[in-house]
This record gives sequence, C-alpha cells and structure tokens, in this order.
Amino acid sequence: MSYLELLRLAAPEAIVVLTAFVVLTIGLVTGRREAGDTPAATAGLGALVAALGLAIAAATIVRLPGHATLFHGMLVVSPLNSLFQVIVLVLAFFTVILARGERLLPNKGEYLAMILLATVGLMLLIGSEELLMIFIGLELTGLSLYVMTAFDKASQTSAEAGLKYFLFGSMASAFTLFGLSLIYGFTGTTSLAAIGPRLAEQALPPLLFVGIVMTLIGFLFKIAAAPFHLWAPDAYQGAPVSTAGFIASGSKVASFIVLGKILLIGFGPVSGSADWHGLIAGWTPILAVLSALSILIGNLVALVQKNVRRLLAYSAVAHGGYTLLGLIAGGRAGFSATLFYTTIYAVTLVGAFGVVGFVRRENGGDDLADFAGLRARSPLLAGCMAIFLLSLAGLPPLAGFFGKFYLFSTALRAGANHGLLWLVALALFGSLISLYYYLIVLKVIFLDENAQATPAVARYDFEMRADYLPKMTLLVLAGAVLLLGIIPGTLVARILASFG
Amino acid sequence: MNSAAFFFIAVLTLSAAVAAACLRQLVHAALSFAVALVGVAAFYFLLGAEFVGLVQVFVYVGAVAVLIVFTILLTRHGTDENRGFNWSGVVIALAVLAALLWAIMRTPALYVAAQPGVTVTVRQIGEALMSDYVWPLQCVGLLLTAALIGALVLVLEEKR
Amino acid sequence: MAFRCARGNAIPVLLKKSGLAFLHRNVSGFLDQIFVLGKQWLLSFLAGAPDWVGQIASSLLNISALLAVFLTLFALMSLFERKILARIQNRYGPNRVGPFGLLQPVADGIKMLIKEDIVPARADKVVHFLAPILIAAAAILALGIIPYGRNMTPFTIDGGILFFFAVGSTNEVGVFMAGWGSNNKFSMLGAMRAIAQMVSYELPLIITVLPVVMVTGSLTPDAIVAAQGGYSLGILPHWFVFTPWGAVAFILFFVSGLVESNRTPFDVPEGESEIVAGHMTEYSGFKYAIFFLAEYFGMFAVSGLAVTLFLGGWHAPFSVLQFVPSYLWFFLKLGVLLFVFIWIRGTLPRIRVDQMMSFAWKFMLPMAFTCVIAAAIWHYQGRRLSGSLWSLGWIVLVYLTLSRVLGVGKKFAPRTYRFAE
Repeated sequence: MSYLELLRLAAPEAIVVLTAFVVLTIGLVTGRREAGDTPAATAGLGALVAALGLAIAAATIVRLPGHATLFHGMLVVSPLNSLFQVIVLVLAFFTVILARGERLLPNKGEYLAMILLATVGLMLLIGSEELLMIFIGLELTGLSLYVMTAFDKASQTSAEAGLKYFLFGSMASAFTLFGLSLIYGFTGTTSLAAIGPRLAEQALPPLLFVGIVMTLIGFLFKIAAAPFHLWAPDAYQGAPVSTAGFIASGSKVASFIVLGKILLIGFGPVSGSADWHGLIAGWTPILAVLSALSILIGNLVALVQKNVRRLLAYSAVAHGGYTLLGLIAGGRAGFSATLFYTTIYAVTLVGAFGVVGFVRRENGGDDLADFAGLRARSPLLAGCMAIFLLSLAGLPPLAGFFGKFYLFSTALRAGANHGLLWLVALALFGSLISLYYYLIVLKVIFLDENAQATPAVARYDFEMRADYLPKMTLLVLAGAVLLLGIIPGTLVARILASFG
Repeated sequence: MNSAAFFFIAVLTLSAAVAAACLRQLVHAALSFAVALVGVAAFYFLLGAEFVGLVQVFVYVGAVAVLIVFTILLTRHGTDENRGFNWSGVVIALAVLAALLWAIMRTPALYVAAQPGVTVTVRQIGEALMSDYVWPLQCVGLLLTAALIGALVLVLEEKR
Repeated sequence: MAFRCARGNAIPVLLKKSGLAFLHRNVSGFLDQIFVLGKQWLLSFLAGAPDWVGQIASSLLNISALLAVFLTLFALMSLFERKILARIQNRYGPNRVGPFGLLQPVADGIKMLIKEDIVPARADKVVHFLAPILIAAAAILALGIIPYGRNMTPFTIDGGILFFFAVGSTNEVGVFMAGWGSNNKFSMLGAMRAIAQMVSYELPLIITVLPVVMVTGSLTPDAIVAAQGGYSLGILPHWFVFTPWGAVAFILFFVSGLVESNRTPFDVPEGESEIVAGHMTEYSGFKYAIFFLAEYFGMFAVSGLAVTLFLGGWHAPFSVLQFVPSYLWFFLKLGVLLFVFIWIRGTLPRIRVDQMMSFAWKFMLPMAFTCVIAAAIWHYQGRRLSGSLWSLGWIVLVYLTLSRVLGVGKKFAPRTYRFAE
C-alpha cells in the first residue's frame, strides 16, 4: 500500500471533502456582508460548486477499478459499493439543488458544506466492510445531520428537532460502540469478512449476542425502526426541508446497505430464523419483531397526522419495516430486494420533500391545510406529489409497486414452507392502511378548495416566483419514479450484477 | 499487588461514575465524571498501555471535562429545581444491567491470554497510525472538522 | 537533584566498581554525575531488599530531590523577581530582611503559614479545598519528566512529552474548581478567563512541540536532548533553536508558555485591577501560597521544557565548555528564560481578553502549523543550509501573508467607549 494508491481509491471522497471546503471558503469570502440571509449570488455559486463537485465525484467513482480492498476492508471498492456511492451522490445532488430554494437559511455556505460532509460520511459507510470505519462513517453522517437539523435558528421546532435527534442519536451510537467493542473482544477482529467465520466456529456466547444486538441498535436508529423511531417525527417536521429529505433518503440508503453487509457478511452464521413454525434464535427473529412493530406503529400513527411532514415521518417508519423484510429473508435475493426498495423509496422521498418545501415557502407551513387547493395553484407540483405519494402507497405502474412486489415475493419465497407469510401478510395489511392516508393527502390537494380563493395573479405569482431549477428537478424525480415502475428491470439487474 | 490496584481503581472509578449519575449539583457531577475518566486512564496504565492512558487523561480530563464544566457555567443560570425522580429510567437501566449481567454470567470464557512480553512503544503506535490505520485516522480528522464547523455554525451570533 | 541511571552509558560500568573507585576518572565526569552516583550510593544500602522497596526508595529520593531543588528555586525566584522588577522600575526592592533582603522569602513563608485560613461561608468546602491540591500536584508532576542533566531525568517514560501536556491539562480542572468552589463573582470570572485562555493557547503550545517530535522521531525528552548533541565546526551547537523553524517555534512556545503560566502581559485571569486576584481571590494563608507556588512551578516546567526542546537541554553551548557539569548548563538556561519572564513582566502592559483570543486563533495557531511544515521542508532538504533557507522562506511567506490578511498595518480606529463616557 502506498499513499498514492490510497489517494487513488479514495479520490471520490477526497473530491467531495475538497468541494465542501471550497464551498465553505466561498461562503466565508463573499457571504455575510449584509445582515440576514446569505446573498443570493453566493448561495447560487456555492450550490453550483457543490453540485459540480458531486458530479465530478460520481464520475470518478465510475473510473475506479472494479475490485480493490485496502487495510483489511476499511476501504473496499466493488461494483456494489460504487453503485450505491453513485446513488448517494445523486441523492445529495438533488438535495443541494432543492436546498437552493430555501431562502430562510443564513450561512448557506456552511449548510451546503454540511450536506457534502454528510455525503462523505455516507460514502465511507458504504465503502467499508470493517467495523471501525463503519462507526466513523456513522458518526460523521450523524454529526452532520444533527447540525443540519438544527440549522434553522429562527425556528424553535428546528432546534428541538436537532436536540432530540442528537440525544437519541448519540445514545444509539454509544450502544453501537459498546456492541462493536464486545464483538471485537470476542472475535479479535474488526473486519466483517473475518468475523463471519469466527462466529461460525463457536457456539454463540450470550454476551456476544448482546454485542450483536447492541450493534444493530445504531442502525435501527438510523433507519427509524419502531422502538428507535421517536426522533423521526420531530426531525422530519422541524428540520429544514432539504435536510429532512436527505435524512429520509441518503442516510437511509447507506444505513440499509451497511446493515445488510453487517448482517449478511459479518453476522451471517448466527442469523437464526423467524419462520412461523421454526423459530431459531438469532438476529432474524429480533428484526422480524421490530419490522412488524414498525409496520404497525408507523401506519397506525400516520393515520391521525395533520402535518404532511409528520405523516411522511411515520410512513417512513413503516417503510423501514417493509425494507427490513428483505434482510430477514436473507441471501442475495433478499439483500437486493432491500436495496432496490430503499433506493426507490429514497428517490420518492427526496421528491416529496421537494414539493413540501415549495408549499412551505409559499404558505409558511406544511400542515395538510396548507396543501389545500394545490392543484389550482400549481398543477405541476400537485401532479408530482400525486406520483410520489401513489408510489409510496405502492400502486402500479409506479416504482413503489414493483419495489413492494419484489420485496414481498422474495420474503415469501425465502423461508421453508412460506415461513415468513405472517410478516408479509402484516406488511400487505400495512400497505392497505397507508393507501388511506396517502389518499387523504391527495384528496386535500386535488379536491379541497383553498380557504382563501386564489386569483389568477397569485397562481401566476406562485408559478413564476419559484426557481425553475428545483421544479425541473422535481419533474426529473417524478419521471424517474414512473420510469422505474415501468422498467424496473434495469436497476434490479444492475444491483444483482453488482453482487457478482 | 496488581489485583489490589485493580480493585482499588475499580472501586474508585465505579463510585465516581455512580456519583456522576446521582449528584444533584451539576458541577459536582461533572467533576466526579472527570474522576471516573481518570480511573479509566489508571486502568490503561495498569494494563501497560501508557500511551492510551496519557491520551485518555489528555483528551478526556484536559479537554472534555473542562468543556463540560465550562458549558455548564455558560448555559445554566437558574438554580437546580427538583425535577423529580425518573422511575422509568431506573427501571430501564436496571433491566439493561440485568440483561448484561445475565449474559456475562452465562458466557464461559471471557479471559483471553495476553501475549507476553509485548510492549508497544509510542513509535509503533505512530507507525501503525500512519500506515495501517491512516485511512480511519484521516476520516476521524474529517469527523472532528465537521463537528467543529457544526458547533461553530450553531452557536454563531445572528446579525439580525 | 533528581537522577536516574538511564541507558547504557559508562555509568553502570562505573558503578560496578564499588566505593570511591571512580575517583581516578576525570573530575569533570565525576562532578557531572555526582548526584546520580550519590543516589546509587544511597540505594546501595537497600541492596538486599526486594525489588519494589528499591523502586519506592528511588522514587522517594527523586521526589524529595525535585521538591528540594524547586522549592529553593521558588524562594529565590520570588526574591529575584521583586528585585529585578524594582531595578526596572528604579526602586530598591526588598532589602530589609537579611543581607540584601535575601531572607525575604523566609519571612514571606512564615507570614503565609501563620495567617488565618479563611474559607467563605457560602463556598463549596470540598471543591474549595481540593483545588489547590490538584493544581500543585499537576505542577509538580509536570516537572518530573524533564532531563535536568546527563542521566538525570526523575522518571523516564515512553511518552514523556505527552505526559507533560496530559498532566498540564488537568490544571484547568483545578483552576475551574478554585473559581467555582469559592462562590465569588471575581473568582468565577477569573477562572473562566483562565480556562478560556489556557484552552486557546494549549493548541499553539502543543503544535509548536510537534516539529521537534517530528524531527527527532521521539516523544521522550531524553531522546530529544540527545538529538541536539554535537557541534558543527566545534562551536555551533545543534540546538533546534538555531534552525529557522526551531527559532519560530521556540518564540511561539515561549509566548504560549507565558499565557499558560498566567504571566504578564497575559495575566488577564488575575488582573488585580479588574478582578482582584481571579480564581485565587477567596484563598488565604497557606492555600494561597500553594497557588502561588503552583504558578511558579508551572513556569519552571514550561521553561524547562522549552530548554529541553529547543535550547539543547543540558548540552553545553560550545564544545570547549563541555567540562562544566550538565545540570549547571540546564539551570543556567532555565535561569535565563526565567529572567526573560521577569523582564517581560516589567516591560509590557496587560493586553485585553479579546486581543489575546484573536492573537491565539488568528496568528499563533497558523504560525504553529507553519512551523510544522517548515520542519518537514527542512528535513526533506537533507537538514542542510538549503533546507534552512527554504523553510525560512516558507515561514516568512506565511508571516507576511498573515500580517496582510489580519491587517496589522491598518490604522487603529479611535477607541469608542460603550459603557463609559
């Protein structure tokens, strides 16, 4: 190993970090001349540089060698990792563009830099198969996201959300670190590839099992699975909209891929089984219970929400539950179903939060009432929102439908004798519930009249004042959701091929 | 002699940690916390991990504990009101403790034979950090940078 | 003095021949090692005892020697400080007690001891009591790792420099305890000021040590001193202060040391015209004396480390002067640094808190990092003249840029008073 080799393989991360510093410098040099908001020109330049940096990083990933491993798995380049690093970069790219519209934020440069640093954290998470680096990535992501959540200092909810996210997050990290130390103590290694065989060769001591459970807590927190979801509603509601979108998308994708790697590569030998008739102790039954809990709690609580962002948060809990199905099913098929589903979900949620951001800027709020009559004011936004929500609900021909179909069918086929049928049935039931509350939102958007009648001038105003770029982005996202629903095969094939 | 020292340090560390959790006065709690951290450092010294022990004192007592007390001073103005006893917290803590104890009791071989005669010098640690662990080292640096920027942004005075 | 027989010099061989057999060796070598040999002689009485008795006895000897020397030095320093300050200010200074006022420290000590020890009624008794102990302990411990002469390091550990800073950093906790435990506004303000400036200046203090550690490849003070041995052309010593990066790092280190020991012009935490005596306001009698002592010990420790790191430790400045015992050189250098401390105190006014902070973060810290890079340049240029020139160029470049960016040449605006007319 030479430093040059390291630099070559870590070039994407390095580029994003450099971009973050450049963006910071732009904010430092040009910003804060006048009181209040960052000057528009600065914000524009910063966003441009950030987007450019992300694009260059993605291009660099493509040019990396196919397979490479450094430092016993601390830095792994493989088709799977590269694919998902690109996906995370794309999500960050959209977030940066959508963040451009957020005029409320002072210190725009720092905000963009934090997005980029969080992205680096996600890339580290994805690109490592080693516990130490995974923890560092988890922390880098976490810290950046806490800060971003509390970024809107004019709003009290943002501060509250940031604090809650931080407290829950650091607690979960502490558990994870404790668990990792136990695992290291028992197996004597931090490399996932080496942990698997060590676990296989001995009977599982209870303390090691405790370590495994503790390790999982940090990731279950990140994906907001049921007992660890308490931060999610506040964070989704209080954070700046683009942050909420990024938490729901990028952070989730990376967490799922790492969780999958840890479970299937590292802890594979002690998976156990969650089959209805053949329960075997291991991490699978635990995940199954949490998944069921998430589906139930998420969907039921979402029913009574009056705030769209809170509703999306609880639905995110439920979707986390669905996504876990793939990991419970296990194997290459299950993992790829999870990855496919979480990718689609991430794309959809970035779009949904983009629409919420527009409405929030116009009406100053994101309660259901603020969405009333959105169709009249902006057919484009209303249409996009409809696509996103229906995809979340899982209606064909949208991407969400195929994602769920793939996920559930994999889970059904997994256990012997359809052992996971109970969980799949529960998930189907949950989807049914979710259809109801998504339709409520759509009803408000399309059928309810706005309380104050919108004259044509206002509508024109609304359409024109908003940036064109974010709108185009939303269109692109909606198109992607539609396209992935019609021809899902390409992405699935990519994911499956990248395992090879 | 070593086991006596171990016992002494363990009692000191544990009681300081309990005090940190229980004491009413926040500053007292912070100071006991510092004592607990010193106790951990003493364990490292006992194990022959001189460097780690020094870093523990340096970072945790010199920086973290000081920052904690400083933050308490800068942020808390009122006197401590009685916030009531948090029963649910106690129950959860006891449950976790019980689970851990059960697991520890049930786990057969917890002791690992130490490799004899291996004294790691600071130089070796430095070389490891600069070769095998250079990537995590850099990433931790990045992590700290992110934390620094974030902390600064959050406490920055708004000129409105 | 404190001593310890370190690695394989001629000394162990020397010691095998018991008694006074080494007298035939040259006298300077004997004088150089007189304390080391004295300690060995004392320990030889314990020859039959188990190992740990010997270890404890050796430690106790080291500690008592360390305390004896530095308490004497403290007494002398307190006298000479007043004398020299008086000289600078055209006064006589203490001259009543004993010849030339030489017994003044004794009088001071007696006064401190017999004073009433007052603890404020609202103070936090335990914290108030523990604070001076912690501070004094930290200050004394920090003295332990400095090599005072050839084979004269009280205790040799692998990460000696790190130990120094680890122990030094606990000082802040002690200051906080003193300030908070006194339950007094002035104490609290003083403690907060002290901690803020200590935390800020700890960074340049440590980072200026980095180039030395990089160049010598060791955190052990003995190795660092050893690396500065030898002479070019027989007269030029290889001290790090004579390299461009070393000179700059030394100045930065010394300034940071001034701050760390709360000396003028950085004595903001205990500025008597503003906040009485800072965190020491509510201490009287012996406890106050202990604070005082700890402050001076801290000063000795920082100066001693500066001597070790940059001024060649106990090495003689010219090769012809090597016959003078090593510890004398060390204490001579220490004395010069201490004199500079006093000199600065007599010369400079106190600076403002905000000036001090921005100086630390905007100037000291970047310059400290510059030194690190300059040392790397020097090293990779083969440690020759060209390397020196390159690193000097780099330092000057950064210095000029920094002064331009910070606007040192800017005209000062007329001062505005916000709270007073």
